[in-house]
Amino acid sequence: MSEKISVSKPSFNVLTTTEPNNIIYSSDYNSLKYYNSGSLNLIANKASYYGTSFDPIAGSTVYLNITANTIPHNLGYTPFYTGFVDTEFLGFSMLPLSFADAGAFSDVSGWADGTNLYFQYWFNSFTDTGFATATVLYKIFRNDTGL
Amino acid sequence: MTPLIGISKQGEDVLTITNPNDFIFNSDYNTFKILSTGLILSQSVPTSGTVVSVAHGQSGIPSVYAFAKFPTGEVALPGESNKGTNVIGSFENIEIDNTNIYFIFSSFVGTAYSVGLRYYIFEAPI
Repeated sequence: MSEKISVSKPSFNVLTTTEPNNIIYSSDYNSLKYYNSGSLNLIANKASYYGTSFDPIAGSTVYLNITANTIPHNLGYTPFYTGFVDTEFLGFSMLPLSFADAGAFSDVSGWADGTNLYFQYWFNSFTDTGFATATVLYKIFRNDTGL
Repeated sequence: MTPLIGISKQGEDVLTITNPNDFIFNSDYNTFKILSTGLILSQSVPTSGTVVSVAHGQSGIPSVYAFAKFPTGEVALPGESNKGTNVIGSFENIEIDNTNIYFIFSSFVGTAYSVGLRYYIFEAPI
């Protein structure tokens, strides 16, 4: 029998229980190791749209916008991460988020590589003035995805 | 007082803190254990609806979290496509049943592309 450290839930015998759900901690199992977290705003100046299209339902021009931001993680490998975006509806939604309704669309996405986390806000707008902001919260774990 | 095992973060007094975020470990709280993980490389996605499957070996339907790597370098969660001017496909979804994990991909181009996958199976069944 190999040696290990284990803490069972109350009323379970740590020496005999094998069901992971009955164990608070077991050195048999890896866990997510927290590294870093933060937030960022993806701010798009609508005057800097990259293209236009015509919405036949609204009968008007729509302006295509995209903006991105980068978070260096300096881990040297691609880590486990997760992200959430403020929908400005009910709260935060896990990334990616895609929404489309009545000719409007909005897409907030995230991805990673061995150097950075990347977040992108892509949307259309019926105006070419003002600013649009997507607020993203992210968490990075030390676990190496190996990808 | 019920005995517990606690390890605080540096600068925190393990005997007095109560915020779980100030603990590295606290035996009052379960840990989200990774029961297993797998790396699947060089999977071909020739068409939309391509499914890569792997047996999870768990009883019931486990919680799964996974990343896919596109040939253009992005490591992304389900629901993401690769980025840039050459969008070739999408990591559409993960589905899980009592036996397998299914990773579903779309292709937006006429030729096959290759993906890698890392998946994590967590303790608590869904």
